[in-house]
Amino acid sequence: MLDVMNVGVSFGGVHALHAVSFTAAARHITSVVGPNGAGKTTLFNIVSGFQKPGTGSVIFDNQQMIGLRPSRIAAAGLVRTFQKTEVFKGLTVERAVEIGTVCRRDFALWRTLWPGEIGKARTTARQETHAVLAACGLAQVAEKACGALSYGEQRILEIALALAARPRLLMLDEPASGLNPSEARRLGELITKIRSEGVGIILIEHNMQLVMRISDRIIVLHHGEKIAEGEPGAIARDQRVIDAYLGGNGFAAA
Amino acid sequence: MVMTGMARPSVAVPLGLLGLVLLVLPRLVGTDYYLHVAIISLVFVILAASLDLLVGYSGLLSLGHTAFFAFGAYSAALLYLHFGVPLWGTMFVSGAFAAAIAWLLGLLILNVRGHRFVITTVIFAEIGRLIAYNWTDLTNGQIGLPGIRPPVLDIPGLPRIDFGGRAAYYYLALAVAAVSVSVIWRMAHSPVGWRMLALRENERLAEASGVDTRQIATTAFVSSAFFAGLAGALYAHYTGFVSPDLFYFSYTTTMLIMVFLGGKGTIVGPVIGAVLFTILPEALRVTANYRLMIFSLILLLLVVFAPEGLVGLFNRLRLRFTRQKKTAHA
Amino acid sequence: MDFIPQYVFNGLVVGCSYALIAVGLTAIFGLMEIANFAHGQFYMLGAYFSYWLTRIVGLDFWTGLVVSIIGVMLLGIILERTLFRLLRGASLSSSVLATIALSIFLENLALNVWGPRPQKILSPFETGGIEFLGVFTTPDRLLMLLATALIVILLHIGLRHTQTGKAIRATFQQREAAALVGIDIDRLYTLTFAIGAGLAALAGVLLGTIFVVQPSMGGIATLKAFVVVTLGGISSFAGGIAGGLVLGLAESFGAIIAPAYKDAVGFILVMLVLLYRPDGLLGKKWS
Repeated sequence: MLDVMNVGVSFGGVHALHAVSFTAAARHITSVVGPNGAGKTTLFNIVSGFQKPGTGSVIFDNQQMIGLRPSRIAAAGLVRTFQKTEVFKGLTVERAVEIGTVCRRDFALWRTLWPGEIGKARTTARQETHAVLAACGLAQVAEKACGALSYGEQRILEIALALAARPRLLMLDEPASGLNPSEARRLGELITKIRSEGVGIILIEHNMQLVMRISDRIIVLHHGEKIAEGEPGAIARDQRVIDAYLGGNGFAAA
Repeated sequence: MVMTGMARPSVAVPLGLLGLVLLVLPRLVGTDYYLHVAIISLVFVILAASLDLLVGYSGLLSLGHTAFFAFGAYSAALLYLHFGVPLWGTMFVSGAFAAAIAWLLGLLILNVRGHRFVITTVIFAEIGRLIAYNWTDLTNGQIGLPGIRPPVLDIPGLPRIDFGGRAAYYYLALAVAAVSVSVIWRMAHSPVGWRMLALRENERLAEASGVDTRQIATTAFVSSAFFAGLAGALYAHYTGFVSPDLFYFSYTTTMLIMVFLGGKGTIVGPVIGAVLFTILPEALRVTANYRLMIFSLILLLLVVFAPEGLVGLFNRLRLRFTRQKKTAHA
Repeated sequence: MDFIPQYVFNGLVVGCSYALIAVGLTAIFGLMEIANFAHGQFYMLGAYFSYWLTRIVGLDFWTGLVVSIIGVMLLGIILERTLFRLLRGASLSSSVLATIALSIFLENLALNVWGPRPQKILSPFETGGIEFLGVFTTPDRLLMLLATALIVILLHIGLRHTQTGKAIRATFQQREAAALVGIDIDRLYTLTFAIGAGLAALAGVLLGTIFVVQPSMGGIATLKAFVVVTLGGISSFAGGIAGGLVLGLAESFGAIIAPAYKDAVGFILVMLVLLYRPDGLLGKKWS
């Protein structure tokens, strides 16, 4: 589904990413892990169109994604969330998700003038919104302002917003950061449920318990390079990975 | 401001009543002066509603809006004076002309945000004024262009309607304003308007959700300019005169006050604000000099202490009232 | 082409006033993150205070200059303590609109107090035109150049070698860190605001002896200052000064081609810069 090939980018002479290649398949949870500064978010930025790479290509559904606007990439079905919680603070949860459901699809300007068109769009959006909110367990906070939700709820809301856009491949950037263990477990259940719906998932995470429990495949980045790739069990035993985590960086697995 | 649902059915009754009042207004007020105020307020209703699309819905602080109004007025004037085109034609050409300028300007400035965007819109209006002032061959410079007549309606089989009279022009302006506001309202409450909200609330998230932020910003910019230009034509054919003064920032200030007084991001609010803020200054009869001092003070207080405007206050009161009712029943 | 030095000189004189105003704006914007659209009114008020003190109250020029600057600085302090404190942390829309409203208020206040007719501040110098390095000029213009050069030197020394100056530079770059280190942000903001207002007032008084004083001069000054800031980015004081001088020169030479559109030179430059470098002449893309 997603083919990342030989992606590299450097800032001011330093390689943020170098020759990173991997694939992500539908109905699979692929986790990207690595110490801080390994280049994981940069990778997401490049794949989702927010940054241009120096080298490499990103093929999604046989289409080249490099050079496209982030909105075009999202419309193609490749949707991401952000490391720092991003919501539509001033809007209600319901309205935010409603907007999320229509963003992907174009609504021609002339249709605003045609009687009934707005009502139709409204009804469809409402229905899809309720489905998404129910799936994510946010139905009871639908009337609240996004900014008024608790931190954990906001992180789930982020995923709800991404789901509203009907992704085929969902890229989650540290969705469990700042969550307590029970919230993290709830998140893990949500992610596996999304996978069972046929959506592919790529996950950046530091919460290794979560990663080990739900991932089908793990990719380890270190200093901008891929140093290991494989199933959770194999990765846990991989000496290079252990060295990377416990070595010079001072970062310990959670 | 937290966005809630669409208008409820119970609004239909007061709306109907309002419509009735508007239709018989000339009978009710009688004097030409009040009709004049009404017509001017209708022009500003269109301007305020169009500005709300930009400032309220899209979060684009475009402070050169009067330039589109003025460009529309000038194009109407020139079309009429040189080619005899009546309002029926100039309305749409002015709108299209202003929209085209907005589109071109947008190419330049819609990839920046923040203070840079703001200052460029202000500069744009200043450039417009300089051109109108100095290109005397075309615009007659400071003196302006007089003699733009209201239209007549010649439908075979029907009596000729001359819109030169105040009452007649009032109905004309009312019709144009009603159609314009309802189009703007529909835009705002459609997926197009939702995309504008997304742009306003969180541009990065909007882009990541599939909203082409550049495109939606352009749509907002161009459509609001269209209506401003249209309002310019309406104004020109009424007052009969255009001058570089139309590019002055004071017009934008007035529109901003109307948007904030009524409540930005609601369309209805700015409409109310436009009516109120055309009537109030006339009612208070302060001299022109003190007028701007008071207006600017009002704007300052609104922005700092009541950014939601009247509609926002009304919603807050209504929420408190319904909550009290709920606790009373509990 | 022996009138080129003349144009350069004239451009520099006006450019100096732009530089003095822009430096204050840069400081306020960079430090407090408030887009102060009323900044040009300090320039206007400096000029009008000086006019009032010399022509009506009867003080001599130099006393009037000092009192005007102090008066505007006091006003700046009051505004900073009240309105601008409220605007801290506000959205860009709020601060832009609030300061624009303030700007209009002050402009019309001046209009009502002193009337719309352009006035002039009488020069302290006896001699009229003089020749200096081959260009025709007046002592007032030379004073402007001298004063600006002096201010630039003082600013440079102050920013580099005093405690307060270092604190300003530190806060300019990293506000949260500066607060953590114990720098009194409130006092610093007030001081910076006052200095910015004072510099604008100085420009107003000096330019008011060369050209005219009228209520609309504040609004135009604000526009020009923002042009400078937009062209040069808000990253440095040096950028503000250099940008101001460059704008002055550009306008002076632009006047050769189209005198009526002289003011628009800066405006057009801004448009062009936005076309090719949407983030100003320095700066990074959003991502």
